[in-house]
Amino acid sequence: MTQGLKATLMVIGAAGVLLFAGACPRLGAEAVYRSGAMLAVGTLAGLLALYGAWKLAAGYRANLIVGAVSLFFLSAGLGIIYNYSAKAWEFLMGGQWVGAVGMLCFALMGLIFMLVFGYLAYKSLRGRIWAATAHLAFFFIMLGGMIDCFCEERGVLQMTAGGPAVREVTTESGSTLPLNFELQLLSTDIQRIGEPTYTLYTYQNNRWVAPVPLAVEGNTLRLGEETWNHEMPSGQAHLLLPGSPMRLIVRTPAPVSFYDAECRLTQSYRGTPTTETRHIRVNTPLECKGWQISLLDMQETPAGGAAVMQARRAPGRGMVLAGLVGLIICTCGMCWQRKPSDKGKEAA
Amino acid sequence: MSAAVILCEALALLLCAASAALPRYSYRLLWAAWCCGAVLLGLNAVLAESLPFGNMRHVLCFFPLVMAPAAYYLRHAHGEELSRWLAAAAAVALTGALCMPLQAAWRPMPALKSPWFAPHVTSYVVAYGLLAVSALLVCRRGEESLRRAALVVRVAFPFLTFGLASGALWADDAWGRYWGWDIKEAWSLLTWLVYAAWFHLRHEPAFLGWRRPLLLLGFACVVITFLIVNFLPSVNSLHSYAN
Repeated sequence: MTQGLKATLMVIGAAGVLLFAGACPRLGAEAVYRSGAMLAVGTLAGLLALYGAWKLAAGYRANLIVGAVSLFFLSAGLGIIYNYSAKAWEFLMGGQWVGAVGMLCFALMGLIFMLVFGYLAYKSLRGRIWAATAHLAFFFIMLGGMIDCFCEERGVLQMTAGGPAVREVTTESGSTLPLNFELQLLSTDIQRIGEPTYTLYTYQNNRWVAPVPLAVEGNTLRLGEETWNHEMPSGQAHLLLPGSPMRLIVRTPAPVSFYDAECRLTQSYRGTPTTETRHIRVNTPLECKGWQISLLDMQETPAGGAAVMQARRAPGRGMVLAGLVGLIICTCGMCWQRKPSDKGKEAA
Repeated sequence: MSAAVILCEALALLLCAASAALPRYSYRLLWAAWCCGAVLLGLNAVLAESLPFGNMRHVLCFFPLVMAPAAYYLRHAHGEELSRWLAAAAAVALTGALCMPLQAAWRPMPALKSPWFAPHVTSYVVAYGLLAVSALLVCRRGEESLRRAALVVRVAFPFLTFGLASGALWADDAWGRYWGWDIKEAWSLLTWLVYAAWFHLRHEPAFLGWRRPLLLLGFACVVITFLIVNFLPSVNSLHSYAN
C-alpha cells in the first residue's frame, strides 16, 4: 500500500471519527461526550488528519504550504470585503457619507488582498486548486460543526400576541442568557388549507377505538341519523358525548399552509434605541446581535395567538455555511474542469 | 390524459434503450421522451397547483426529464454517446411512477415554501439519475464501461454535493439548524461519503479492484436514501412530507 493511500485513508477515517464525535450529543450519548472521551478522540482524529495531509503532500509540500497560507489570506480578504462593505452600507443608509467612504477604502484593501493571495494560491496549487480548496471547505465545515457542538446556545421562546417582550432566553443547559434586544409578538397569522375534519371515537376495552369520520353540514356534524352541534369551545380540540358507551368527537385542524409572526424588535443601535416591526416566518428567521430566531410552531388561542420560537447562537455557523458554499463551488470546479486529455480527445 | 403521455414517454424510452443498432435515432428518441416528460410535468403542476415534487410519483416522473440534457452534455462536452443507458435508467424510474397511486392534489407545508425547494430536489434527481446510469454501466465488464461510469459520476457528484449542501442551508433557515441527524440526512451524507471515498481511491494502484464495488455500494446507498428510508414504516423522518 502506498504512503499516499495510507494518508488518504487516514484523512477519511479522521473525518468519519470527527463526524461521529460531532454526532454524539445529538444521538443521546451525552455521558460519553461529557466525559471528554470524544474530545480526546476528536483531537486525535484531527492530528491524524494533519499527518495524512502532510503525507499526501509528499513531493509538493512547499507548494501546499504556500497555497494553504494564501488560501487563508484569500478568505481573510473576503471577510474584510464583507465586513467593511456591510458597515459602509450601514453608514450610507444613515446618510453618513464620510464613514461610508472610509469603510469602502478598507473594503478595497480586502479586494487587493483577495486578488494578490488568490493569485498566489492559484500559482501554488495549479492543477490541484479545486481539490485543495474543496478539502479546505470540508475542513471549514467540520471545524464549524465542532465549534457549534461545544459553544452553541439554543433555547425556546414562547410568546403570546400582545404579551410581554422577551429579553432573555433559557437555554437547553438551563442557563439564562440575555438576548441584547427585545422581541415582542404583536400578532399572528395562520392560513390553513381547507376546513377542519371531525372524527368520532368510541371507548371500549379501556381504549378509544373505531374512528368514524363525521359529515359536516353547516354547524352540524352528522353520522347517520345522529347529529351534533360542532361548536366546540375555542382552543378545545375534542368534545366528550354523554351516554354509554362513552364517545368522543375529535377535531383535527386543517393542515397549515402559512405561518407569520409579526414582531416588534427593539435594540440599541450605537447607543440609540431603535424599534422596528419584523415578520418571522418558517423560512425567514430573524437575525439580530448574533442570535437567530426561527419560528417553530404557532397556535391559535382565545387571546389571539401564540408562537413558539427558537433562539440560537451558533458561533461556528458562519464557518459551516461558508464551507458549504465553498464545497459546492469547488466540487463543481474539480469535477467539471476539462482535463487536457478531454481536449486532446476532442481535437483528435 | 397523463396516462397517455406516460405511455408515449415510456414507448420512446424503451425504443431508445433498445436502439443499439441505430445510435443516431437513440438520441432523438431520448429528446422525444423529454418532450413527453415536459408535458407530463406541466400536467402534474396543473393538477397539484404547485411545483409537482409533492410525492414519490411526482419525483419519479421528473427523472426522464433530466436525462436528455445530460445526454446532450455528455455528447458535446465529452464526446460520449450514452443515450441508451440514460433512457434505460429513466424507463426504470417511469415504471416505478406507474406503480405508484395517483396523488394529484398536493399543498406544500410552510417549510417547503422556500427558494431552496426546487434546486434541492432537482439537483438530487439529476444526481440520482446519473448515478443510476453509472451503476448500470459498471454492471458490464471491461475497462471501457468503468471509464464511462467514472465520467458519469464526475458529472453527477457536484449535483450530489449541491443537494446535500443546499439541504443544510435550507434547514438552517427553516428549522434553525443546518444538520439534525435525521435518517434521510444521515443516509444522504453516507452516500456522499462513499462517492467521495471512490474519488480518493480511484487512482490508487492498490485499490483499482475496489472501483466497481464502491460504485455499486454508492448506488445501494442512493437506493436506501431515496426509496427504502421513505418506506420504512416506523421511521419518523422530518423529510416525510407526502403524508
